[in-house]
Amino acid sequence: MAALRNAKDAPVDFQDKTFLVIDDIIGVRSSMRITISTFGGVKVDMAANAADAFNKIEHRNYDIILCDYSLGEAKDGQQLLEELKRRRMIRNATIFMMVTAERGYEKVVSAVELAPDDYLIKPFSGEVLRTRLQHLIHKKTFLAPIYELMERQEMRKAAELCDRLLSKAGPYLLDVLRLKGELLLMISEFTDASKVYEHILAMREIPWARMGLAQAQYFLENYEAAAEGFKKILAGHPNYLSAYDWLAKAYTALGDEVSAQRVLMDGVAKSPRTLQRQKDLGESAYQNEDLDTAQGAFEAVLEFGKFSSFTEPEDFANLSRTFLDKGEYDQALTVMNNARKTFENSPQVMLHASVMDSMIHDKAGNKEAAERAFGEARTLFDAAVNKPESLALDMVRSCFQHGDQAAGEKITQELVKNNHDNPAVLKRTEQMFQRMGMHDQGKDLIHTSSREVIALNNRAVKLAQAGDLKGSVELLMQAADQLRANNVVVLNAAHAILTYLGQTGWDERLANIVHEYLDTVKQRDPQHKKYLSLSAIYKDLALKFGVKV
Amino acid sequence: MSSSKGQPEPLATLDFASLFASSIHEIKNQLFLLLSAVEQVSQEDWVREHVSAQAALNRLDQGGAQISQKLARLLGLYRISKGHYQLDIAYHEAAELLQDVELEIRPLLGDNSAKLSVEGGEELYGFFDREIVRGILLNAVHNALRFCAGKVRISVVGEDGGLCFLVEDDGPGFPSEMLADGAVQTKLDLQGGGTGLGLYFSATAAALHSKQGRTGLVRLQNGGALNGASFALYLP
Repeated sequence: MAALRNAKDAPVDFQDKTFLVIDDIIGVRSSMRITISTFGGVKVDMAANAADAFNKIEHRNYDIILCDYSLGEAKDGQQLLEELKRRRMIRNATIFMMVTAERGYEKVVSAVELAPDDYLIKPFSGEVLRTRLQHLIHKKTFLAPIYELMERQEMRKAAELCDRLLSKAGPYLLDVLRLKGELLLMISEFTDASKVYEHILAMREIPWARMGLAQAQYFLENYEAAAEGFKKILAGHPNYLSAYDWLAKAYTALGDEVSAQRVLMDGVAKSPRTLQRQKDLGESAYQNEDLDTAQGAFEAVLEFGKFSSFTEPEDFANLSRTFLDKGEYDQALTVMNNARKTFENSPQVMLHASVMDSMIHDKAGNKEAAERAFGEARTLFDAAVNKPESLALDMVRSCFQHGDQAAGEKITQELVKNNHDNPAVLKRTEQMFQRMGMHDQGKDLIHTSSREVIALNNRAVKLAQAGDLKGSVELLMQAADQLRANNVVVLNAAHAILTYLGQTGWDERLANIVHEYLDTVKQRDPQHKKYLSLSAIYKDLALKFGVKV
Repeated sequence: MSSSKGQPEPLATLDFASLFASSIHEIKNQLFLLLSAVEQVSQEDWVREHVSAQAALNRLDQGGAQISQKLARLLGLYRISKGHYQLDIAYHEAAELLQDVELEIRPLLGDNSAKLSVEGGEELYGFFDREIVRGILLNAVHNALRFCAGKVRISVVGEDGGLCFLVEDDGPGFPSEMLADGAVQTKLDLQGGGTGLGLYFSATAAALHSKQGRTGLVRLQNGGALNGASFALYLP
């Protein structure tokens, strides 16, 4: 017998393992403690609800979490798991097992996207629980070296390790392949990722593998194939909710915003309480000038987000803008008044509110109030650090409404330069100009501004091709310093410097600049794919030159 | 379902399948509560002291569990027929599943533990819905235990790129009418009493597993390793 078999069936000592039992019924919690003690588990904590569980998990590292699917309140076990993962509160090595009565089983299983490590149907004996946990512990032990690299953000190395482990993965073959696919997606190796998923799909049609393949195709800009893949998932698994969002993204990329809206409506019908999906639907409907649907979706965002910390002043502005376009000025103003109350006059909300007010009052014919709000908006906007795209667009619109052409153009240029490779933002900008009856002028402005960035990039590429790596680096650094808000430009500069360092050797000044560039992007988007792969290259390079970072 | 002026909906237009399905769902949940009560009572000290009470509660518990399984199969069939069944196909080791089945059956055997032998499955892997296949095998083992003379054997082998689970016993074997049609179970035999529905469910659920045109199936034979009934579940 293979060594693996022996390792796999080796008994596990549960004495040192930390357990967390999450169940809303006290009798069940205590009987779970007894069940766990039958196989030697003694370090057992209890949580009665989701909030209690968050609190416990924040303060202690658990090896094993046993969570009942129904927690008797607003949040169920699946939502708890999703939030824990989203907030990165549980490590990959932690075992999360969902416990369910037979009635809840189907719901647990159909939650295909973010699955627990295993599920257990009540009632079960201590022996059944012990064997299940034993298998899972052996699996996690096998995968542990990959997880360790992932925790250190060494995604490329983790993917390479997956390759080496494949031949001896045995029962964990699919787990290793799945990790490998996810890692390759993370480091933007989309072609390799496709191959992994195609390999799995040749064995069996598995929804997460189809999802991975379609995502890789999406990033390879093969939107038609991606859309087909997402559709295939939904045909077999209508509860695979993120497939709705991805299909909508693919349709948007294909320029079919009407289909995107339809798909988002399907997804919202399945699960109305997802804020981001409602927000996407609102934006899609707004683009399609379906203002009633947009209003409903933006209202839902505020309604469902009322008691969470997930709404932002921008969400209020979205709704207010919809009312403005419908000509319902009182409603539009009320929404922003509510926003001020909700966010207690924070600088961010005052900025959004003054911009919206300046447009609403203008349309409603309150010239004086409009001028006052516009003045305030200009001052706050210039002083603001964080300017979301929708805010910048509103500001532009307000500038043109108030006849301040120059300011409007300047903000547009900035916005376009910082998003020159983001077709969604460019399209929204163009549409806004179209709505103002300035389609040609808007198109011109977008074109010239984005061309500036592209030209600069091209010049740098040419210099590099001609062998002047140093000159190319200098040029890109100049661009990055001007366009600090543009992730693509900043990362391009970082990439060039890293290549330069790789060829000419370590240089403390340049290395510090790269570090700073990478940090800038990390602040804004810690999961940015290119950021992750460049920071891996940075670490490798430092290691190669024996520099401690 | 609402009708005007307080008149009940005519019986002829009732959707009985849906009515039965939702009723079965309710009955199952009530049964679960009943069984929890039985379990609670059997923990009481005064019950532990009375052998006859214990035995009666055991019968209640096992009988209830079997009713619950039967209802689950009916509901399962209904969902499959409606296209609502969510298959959870994943990659499993066959030995692990057999271990699961064994863990569930052993406690029922009491002193007759030697009756059951479980073999094979190490380093044999397949793609299947664990809960479905577990249900199919449990049903087959329950049947085998009912009809065997003294021995039941569960095993698994690789077959044709897939897996073949076998449940065999040393009893009188299947009656000849069940072995018609090449012994592949396709029809629901409502006259056949208890085993009919279980087999029909097994065959239907097995058929949900498919790969490149090949589908899972249930095959019945007489003979086999123990020279009795032999139940085979093939999964591609």
